Amino acid sequence: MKMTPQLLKAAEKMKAGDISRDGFFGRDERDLAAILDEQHAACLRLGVSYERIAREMRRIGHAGAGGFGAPVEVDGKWSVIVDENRGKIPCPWPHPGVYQKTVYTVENLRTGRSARYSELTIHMIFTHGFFQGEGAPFYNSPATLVDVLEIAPDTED
Amino acid sequence: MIEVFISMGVIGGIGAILAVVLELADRYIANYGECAVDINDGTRTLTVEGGGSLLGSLVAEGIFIPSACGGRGSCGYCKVKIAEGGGPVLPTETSWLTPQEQKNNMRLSCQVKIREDLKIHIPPELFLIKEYRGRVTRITTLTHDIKEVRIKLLEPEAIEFQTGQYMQLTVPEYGDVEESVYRAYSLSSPSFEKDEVEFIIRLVPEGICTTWVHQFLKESDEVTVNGPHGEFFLRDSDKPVIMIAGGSGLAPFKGMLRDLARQHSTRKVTFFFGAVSQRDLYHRELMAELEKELPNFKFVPALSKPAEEDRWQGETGLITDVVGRLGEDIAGSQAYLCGSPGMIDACIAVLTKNGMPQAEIFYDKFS
Repeated sequence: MKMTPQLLKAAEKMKAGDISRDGFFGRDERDLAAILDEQHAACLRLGVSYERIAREMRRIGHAGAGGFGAPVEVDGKWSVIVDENRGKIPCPWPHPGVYQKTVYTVENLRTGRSARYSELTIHMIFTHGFFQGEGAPFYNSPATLVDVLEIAPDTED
Repeated sequence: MIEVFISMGVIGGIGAILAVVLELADRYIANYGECAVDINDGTRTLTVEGGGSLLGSLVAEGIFIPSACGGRGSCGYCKVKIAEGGGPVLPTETSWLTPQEQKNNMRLSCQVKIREDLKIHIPPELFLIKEYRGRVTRITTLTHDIKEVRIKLLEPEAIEFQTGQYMQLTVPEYGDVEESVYRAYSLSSPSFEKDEVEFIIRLVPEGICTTWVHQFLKESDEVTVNGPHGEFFLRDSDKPVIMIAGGSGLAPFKGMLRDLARQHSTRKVTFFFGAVSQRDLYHRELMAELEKELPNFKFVPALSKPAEEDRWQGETGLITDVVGRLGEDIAGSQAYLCGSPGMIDACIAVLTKNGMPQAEIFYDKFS
């Protein structure tokens, strides 16, 4: 994938200190197009679309919203803590849209593994297929999310 | 197929280069000279250098249009009515403006460039908003993630506001943050303290401003704030008051209760404060003092998940459950809420279910 003008603009906004303190790339020094390519390939290998991963992140995360910061058990499988913070954050891609600074922490009760992600993370995965760079504050690999959220491959649906 | 991708790439590249050239030409070559900005039919007329954004030019002249994103076109708050001039509505504005707003010539002031004389209309109360230079006199750690910041005003030296309103704190460039931004926080000080302002600020993960406050800001540092903004304040009435807050949402109520104490108020006030465990509670001593000063005030902290070591004896459960236990006793009261959108929406549902009219519910959502 090439770095289109849109991706260049988004990558600029993703740098540390622009719209978030630590940015969206973490330790990953590749360009945005290369990260997207690799993450899309990872989803293909897992047999799960990134849209479906994002839908599950949203469904399970939002199910914990009634706890107002306290853990809520969801479907008997996950413990979910929803932390709603003051303010909104825009998507780094050049389109309108701001997202509440809500942080979801989902722990798989069977395995003990967990994933921490924000409302903006869900949007970026669903709309742009971007899981962020490794080491970024809300980065989770597609494999981690599939594992923690127990998402079966699309073909088995 | 390859040719198609190459063609698309070339066209995209040319488009990007042209956009950059136009932007640079507009910034460095175009000279719009001085332009007049008439505000509210001659109430005030500014003469500004053309070429800048309307929002930036107004701020430079001391007129603070509320904005949560600092002029990046991503919050949609900085709307003003443009009666003349301003050019066509830009694609970056359309998603923030309803068809009716567009028909009424509302625009995002951060997206409007001043290239000609303008006539605009803004709410008159925005003229009262000022920028203040101040010095941090005290930073107090209230919980593991909440700090209280007190600021002595230097220039101007005093502020007029209604207790419960908010101000915007300017964050200077620091670390990787290369551009100054500002963020809104409720005032926790009462309006009778005119020479100092106080904020209660919770650390937001990845937050540019809250990280600065929690990790970089020091006592005796100089800061800039602007305000007051907002319509969250205690309404004149004899009706009993129910206050509900969580986290840093306690801020406006601290000021309101201190105001009531100064007035020796006998109004019935019950303040429900929701937290997860004891480590999230703060200002309990202050609330106990206020309970002594205000004969009809009661502070009700409630923990949704007290830790074992908390040995908690007070109310337990979600704040909605605790408020819900009041039942229909609340029907004749007024409610004031400050906290996360989820908590506020859930509390409004409980209050209205128990007979409180929507018109008697006032809130400040963290949004």
